[in-house]
Parts: sequence; structure tokens; C-alpha cells
Amino acid sequence: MLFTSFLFIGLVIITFLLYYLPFLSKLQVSTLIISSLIFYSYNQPILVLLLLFSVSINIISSYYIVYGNVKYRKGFATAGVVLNLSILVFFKYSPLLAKTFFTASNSIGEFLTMMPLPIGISFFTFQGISLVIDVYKEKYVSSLQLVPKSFLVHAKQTLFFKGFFPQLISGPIVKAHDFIPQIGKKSFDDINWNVVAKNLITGYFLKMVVADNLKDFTFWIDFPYFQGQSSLTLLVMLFGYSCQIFADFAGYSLIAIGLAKLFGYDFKDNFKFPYISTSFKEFWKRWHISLSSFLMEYLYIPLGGNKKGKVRTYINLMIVMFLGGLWHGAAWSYAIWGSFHGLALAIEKFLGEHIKMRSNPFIKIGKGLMIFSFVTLAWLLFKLPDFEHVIAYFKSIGNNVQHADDSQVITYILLYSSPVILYHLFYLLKDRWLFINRTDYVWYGTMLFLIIVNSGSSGAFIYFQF
Amino acid sequence: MIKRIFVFAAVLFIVYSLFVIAVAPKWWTASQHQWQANVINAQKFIYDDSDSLNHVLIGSSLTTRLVMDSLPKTYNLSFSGQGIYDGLNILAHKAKIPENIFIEMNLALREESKDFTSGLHTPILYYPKKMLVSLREDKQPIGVAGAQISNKITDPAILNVKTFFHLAAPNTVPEKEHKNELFNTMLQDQVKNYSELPEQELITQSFTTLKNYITELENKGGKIIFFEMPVNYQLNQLPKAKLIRATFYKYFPTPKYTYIPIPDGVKYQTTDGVHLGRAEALEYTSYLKSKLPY
Repeated sequence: MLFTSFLFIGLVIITFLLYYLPFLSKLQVSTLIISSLIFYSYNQPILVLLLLFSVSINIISSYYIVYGNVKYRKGFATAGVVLNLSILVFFKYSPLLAKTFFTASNSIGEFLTMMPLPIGISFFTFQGISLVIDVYKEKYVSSLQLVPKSFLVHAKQTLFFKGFFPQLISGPIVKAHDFIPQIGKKSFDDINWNVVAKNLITGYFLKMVVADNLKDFTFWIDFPYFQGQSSLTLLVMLFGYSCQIFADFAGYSLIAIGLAKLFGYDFKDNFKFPYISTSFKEFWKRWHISLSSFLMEYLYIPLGGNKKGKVRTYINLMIVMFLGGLWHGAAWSYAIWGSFHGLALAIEKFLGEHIKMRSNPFIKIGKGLMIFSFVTLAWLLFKLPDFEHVIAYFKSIGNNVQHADDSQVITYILLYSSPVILYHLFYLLKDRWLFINRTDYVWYGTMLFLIIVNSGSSGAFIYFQF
Repeated sequence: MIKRIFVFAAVLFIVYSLFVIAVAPKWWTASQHQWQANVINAQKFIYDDSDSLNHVLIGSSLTTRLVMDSLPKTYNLSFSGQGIYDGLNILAHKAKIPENIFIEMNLALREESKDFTSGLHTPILYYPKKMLVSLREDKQPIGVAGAQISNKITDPAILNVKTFFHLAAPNTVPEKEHKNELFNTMLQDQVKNYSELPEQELITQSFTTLKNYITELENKGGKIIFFEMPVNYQLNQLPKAKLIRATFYKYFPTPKYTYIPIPDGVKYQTTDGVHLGRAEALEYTSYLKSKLPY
């Protein structure tokens, strides 16, 4: 069920009405759980069983870490993490393992290739891992705050934490220590309607007007269509895809944040204007923050982070980014994409330690453009998972200089990408151009108007596949 | 704040709707890409309540190539990238249908695009778009702006400036060679496709659906005429083309049904093996017109 479908909007309205009915106030969490299961089961009903199985692993492992025999605490934590990862590997990476290790006619290979990919598995698995580790390590909150004594209450809370529909299938990856302490009775009067409206309008605008329109022009990036396009068209399409992937995912995240606030829950920002970044490090603090902070907290730091010497720091960085890349999809191109970013981070760190550069506005702009260009080129690995096609695309950029430009594709891509540029520009200039803040309602009103009259054809969110 | 947002959006929408109805110039319409062109084409037919249409062509992208200026009072309800069942579905939803219904034979096995047809008839979208023209796809303001800008960019004057600065070069020999190479690749793909026989289950399912649609349209008073769009001559006698042709005659026998076969001995040029070029499309349209039973 897409956030942009009328069916979903109907589900949200019904859930909202039931949720805040005074005589049902004790059933608020149950109402959201039922809605979430309806939401998840809409496309693949059978896979709800997998979600419930995954949740049950987290319920049992986290409960016994706290209330089980102290001797087996570590064992329960390890089992919880390993089982979570096993489900992820089995369902998500089976086709990749089949392609890598088995021939096409091999029966095991065939079986693995046929595995369905449960939607949102990467997201809810990581949330499960965060629960197990948060309870075990107690780094942020006491385990008693995360796991109540009553097993049934704990089970209900865990199911709600992993299954809450705004974040269930495409994030943001909500961490247990951020979410579970928020669970409680919510009041209609506490809703901040301005914040809800701003998030939902911006989110739906980015998705329906920007991303859904751009997708019909960046479609031509696919193999073999790109081969007939001119160099300029190919570069503009790449730029458009960069704006599309941002609008698609940031839009989804803003909708998720707005919906959660509608039910009284706060999710942290998932995007903070990533395309203004002047370094790769900054980019990863602004892009898909819930994933990068997860990898930082639950992988990079446990690996030793930067505390075990310089060489180990670089190795840790590469491991984290390689796995972070592979988390996105079951294809080696994602691992290459992650490694590219890992390498860029490592080189940047090395240069930062050895070369001191003066900073002025021109250098900053130059750095910003360079980071944006590298990030944009790397997105091609998302659009063309076959690495040979990526190479062919770059070759076409070099070879097709003499081809006639596709003025229609170029024009529309630049038009539909311009809100992404303005979005970042307004953020940079909001302190200098005070009228931007004073005329808030004009921007949001215009976005709402364009959602009504200029939405593109509905398309699945790019990050659904992850 | 939230009230001001909604009031501002409402004012914009009212002003724009009035503009589209009362003030907008004729050129205030645009289709941005193939999918949207299909939607716009369907909407024009669906929301047309006049009696000006006597004939309708139902087809795929092959039929979209026909030159409609040559076929008066005829609506081309064909969709690029889609098959005949989308057009038939739209027609079946109409209370009053045109007198003659021409159905393309070539892509009878391509399934209906449910997303496309259901999107057009969903009540929550159908009625607002019927009443408010400003909500229809061809009136999207950014779409219209884009079409205007795009046209300006291709103005000869601007192209000359671009050429001066080496921003756009005229078509050169390598481009042509590239096109030939690409054409051969596409033709070979089509040869491969036309050489493979489809599964019997798909044939039965498709033709049963077609028969149901045709019965429904006949009950509404429509006369059915089948026609085959010409493709590259190498494909005409390949197994898939022959099988589809034979199945049509089996399910819809002559003389009860009228057929307009492809002209004998004419080798049509195509752009990719199956789609006619502009001149060939005009030639075939003339042929089609000469065979019309009215």
C-alpha cells in the first residue's frame, strides 16, 4: 500500500478517528498495531507471518536478556542478533548467493533465486537488532525502560515498535531507545498541527510532484535506452536521478515523520539538506541519518571505531560502508557503491589529516559542487545494478557528444529538479532572506496547489526495494 | 498558519481553474511523456459526450502511428506501450459507443494494464476530473510551461546559437551509422520475439477476454472490424504472427466479421521493426481509408 494511494489515506483517517475516540483510549497501541498489520498485509498477506516471526525473536531474546538467567545474557543477545541477521540474509541475499555460488541449473540455486523479498525487511530487521543491543548494553536507557516485567505488555510494545506503519517498510530506522520510552497514552490536544501539515505537505510534494514526475524522464537511464542519448542529455538525466532519489526518499521520510506526529510519536530527522554538504563525512551526517547513525552506533563503534589506530580506523570505515552498501540491495553493485563512499571517506580523512586548506566561500562552493558531483555519479549504481551497464553509460557520455540533445527530457528534468535546488538554497539563505520565513504559508500553499494539479503518475518508492 | 496555507492553496486553485476554463490560450495543453499521453488520450475520449465520433480505432503503439487527419470522425484510442484491452475496457465503460469499432490484431496477446484503466475510472478521480478541467493531466501548469520552454529551445534561432558555441551539432554520419546498428539490433529482437510461439493458456485467456468485450460492444450496437498493422516484412510470416492471425479467424469467423488484411507485396519501412515511419504511416492510412466499409 503506497503512502500516495487513496486506500492508504482512508486507512489513516479511520485509524486516526478510532485512535482518539475517548472510550477507545486504552486501546490506542492496539489500534495502531491492527492498522499496521492491515497496511503490511495488503500486498503480501503471507509475509505478515515472517514479520511476526521476526518480532517474536526480538520479544523473546530481549525479554530473557533482562529477566532470564544472568549467565545466558550474552547468549540471548548474540542469538537475537544472529537470528535477525539470518532472516535478513536468507530472504534478501539468497538470490545474490545463488547467482554467485551456484549455476543456473542447480536446484539449490533455483530454490534460493525464488525466495520472495519481504518488503521492508532491511528496516524492521535493523530495528530488531537495535532493541536487542540497546537492552543488552543499556548505553542509552535502562533495560527496564525498554522491557517491562509483563511479557504480554513487552510483546505488544515490541510488535508496535517494529510494526508501526509509518516507518515499517521504508524507515526511518527507529531505534528502540528513541521510540519505546515514548509509548503511552496520547491526547488529541497535543497534536502540533502546524508541524504535521508542514511535514506532510513537503513530503507529499517531494514525492508526488518532484520524484513521481522525474521518474518518467530518468526512465531513459535504463539499458539500452541511454545508448541513443546525447552526452548532455545523459548528464542531465543523472542530475535528475540524483534529485529524484532525494525527493523520493526524503519525501517518504517526511511523510512518515508527519504521520507519526499525528499519532503523538516523534521520529528523528532522516535528511538534513544533504546536497549542501562540503565533505563526504558531512554528507553522511545529512543523508539517511537513521541508517548512518545505526551503522555508527551498532557497527563502527563496536568494531573499535577510531580508537584502535589509524590503519584499523580506515579498515573499519571500509567495512561499515561496504556492508552499508550491501544493506541497500542484493547486488554487488550496491557493495561497490558502498565501497566507493568508504574509499571517499578514507581518502578525505587522510587528506584532512595531512593537508590543511584555508576555507572561504568560493572553496566551500567548489567543495560542495564536487561532493554533489561524486555522489550523483555514484547513484548510477542504484539505477543500473548491472556494473557493465554503468560502464557503458559512462562510455556513452564520452562518445555521444555529437548526438542531438533531447530538449524535452532536459527541460522537464531541470524544471522538476528545481524544487530540490530551491529547498536546499532556502535552507542556506533562510537567515539572510527573512521573507522566506515570513511567507511560509505561500511556499506551503503553492506546494499543496501543485500536489493537486501537477502530481506525476504514482510510482513505488525507490527505497521499497531495500 | 495552517489555515493560511489551505486558504492560499484554495485561492491558487480557484484562480487557476477559472484561468483554464475562461482565459487560457488554445496551446495551454501538454503531454510530457508517453504514459501521460496515453492518459490524456483516454481522458479526451472518456469525457467527450458529443456525438461527433462515428468510428474508433482500438490498438497499441502500432496504431498510434496512423495519420488521423485522413480519417474524419474517427477517434484513435490506441496507447503506446499497451495493448488493445485498455481501449476495449474504456469503450465498454461508455454508455454510448461509436458505430464502427476497428480493432488492431497484432498485439492481441498483450494483457490489459489494470493500473491504467482502473485509474481512469476510479470514482474519486473520475468525477472531479470530469467536472474540473484544471485537474486533468494535459493542464498541469509545469507540464505546459515545460512544453513551451522545450519548443523555444528547439527554435532554429536558438539552435544556431547552440551550434555556434558547439553545444549541439547537426546530425552527422556516425549518428546515422549508430541508428542503423540500433535498428538491426531491434529488428533481430523482434525476429526472436515473433519466432517464439506463445503458450496456449495465454492465447485462450486473451481471446476469451476479447470475445467477451466484443459481445458486450455488439450488444451496444457496435460493428467490429479487425485490421492488421503492417510491420517489417521479415516478421509477417513468422510463427507468432501466423498463429495470432489464425486464432482471430477461428474465434471471429468471416463473413460475420470484417477483416482488413495487410496489403499484399508492400514492404513497409519501420523505425524499429514494428513501428511505421511517418511516410509509411501516411501510406498505410490511405490504404486503410480505401478499405473502409463506410
